[in-house]
Amino acid sequence: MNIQEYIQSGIIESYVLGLASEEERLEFESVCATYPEVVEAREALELSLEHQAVSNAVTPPAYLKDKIRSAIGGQQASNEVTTSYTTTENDYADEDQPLIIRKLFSLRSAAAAAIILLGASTLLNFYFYRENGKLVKAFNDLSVQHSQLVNNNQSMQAKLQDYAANFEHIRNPRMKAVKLPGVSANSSSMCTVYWDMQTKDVYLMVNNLPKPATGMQYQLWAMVDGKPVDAGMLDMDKDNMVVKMKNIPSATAFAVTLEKKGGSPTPDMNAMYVMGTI
Amino acid sequence: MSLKQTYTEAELVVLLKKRNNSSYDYLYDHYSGALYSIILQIVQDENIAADVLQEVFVNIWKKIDSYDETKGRLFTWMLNIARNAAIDMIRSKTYRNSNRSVSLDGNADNLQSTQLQVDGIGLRRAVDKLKPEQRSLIELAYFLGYTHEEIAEIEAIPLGTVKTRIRAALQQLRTFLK
Repeated sequence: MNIQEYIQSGIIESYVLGLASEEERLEFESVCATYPEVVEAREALELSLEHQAVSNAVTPPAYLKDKIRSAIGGQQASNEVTTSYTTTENDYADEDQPLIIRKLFSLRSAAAAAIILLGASTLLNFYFYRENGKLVKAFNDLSVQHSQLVNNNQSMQAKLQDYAANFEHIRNPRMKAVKLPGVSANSSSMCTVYWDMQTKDVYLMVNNLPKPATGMQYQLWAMVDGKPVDAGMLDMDKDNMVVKMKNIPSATAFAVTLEKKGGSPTPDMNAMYVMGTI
Repeated sequence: MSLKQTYTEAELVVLLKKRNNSSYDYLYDHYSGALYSIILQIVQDENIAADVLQEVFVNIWKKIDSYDETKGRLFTWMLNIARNAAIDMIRSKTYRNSNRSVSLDGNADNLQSTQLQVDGIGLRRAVDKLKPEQRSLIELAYFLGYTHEEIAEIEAIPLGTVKTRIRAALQQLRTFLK
């Protein structure tokens, strides 16, 4: 064990403030028995805590001191009763020495045996207690892993369903595919518009588009009677294969431009990335 | 009571174990304020804190024989008795039925509004210097007495993360105590 690392791990603070688990406490105490530097660090923390607590003391109401004294007095009285009871027993033992001594010896060995058994049982209890602690921990770790796996699986399934639905859509014979190749400086860009000839819904698939700068967003335009009409904003955060855009009854071409977030009323022709005619 | 007399901690423990009467005076005069302060930070009500303080002193008096100086200083032992008694109190029916009850839905942000006159005293002042997410973990663990498992559930983060974050917060806290 790297003892400096152990000292700085926060275990000392946990132990002193009473936040350590039973297992951590037992471990810490056994480490203290071996490493005086751990004890030293613990005492340093205890002293600063004590100093801090004493200098931030809040005086309790004055009547309390005597009230508590009398509550404690009650405790003491009951202690005295037990003491005097033991004394009487001893007096009795002195009177009847021979018999009592013989009895005492057999009682002693019985008591010794009982103590040994108690000791053994305590050790076993302690052992089982620690084993149980380990098992509970292992079980908890596994439960956490299990729920993580279940979550992963669920999100994978949801994703897969999305993909399947997208794919079904594209495969539909009513779908008209329009390739939108990159224009001028953006020749490596590419999108595909899928246009449902029956419902006139438009879907956009991004084959390749650079990631937009912050505050910017891609906008799809449809050319209708020679004029650009807004066909919807592209939300790239959602990592969808195909994004549903607006409904466009008729068009002669589609194009994508980069606009400020939320879209513009008219396209910025200098920021056109892809365009395709029907 | 003779305030001039000072005992070393070891001497005080011996006297306490003998149930020496003047050791009570000494203990009360030196530590009641510090213990009352930590109780007040948890229960946030002066009358309740006074009841808890009484219970704490009775317990110290009763259990002093079980104090083991190899495991820590006397004050640390007493501080933990006080914290435990205060947490038992805020979890008790009487406390919950009173209007004093802190909202226990685990939303540590609510605690801000329920902090009363205890703002800025004692350990809490050091805790208040922590980053908000660290502070809410220490609030839950130290001042409300939730186990790491309960915190993992409340904050909806994995148990391992709770442990590492609390450890990191405690290390940070230590630098504020110096």
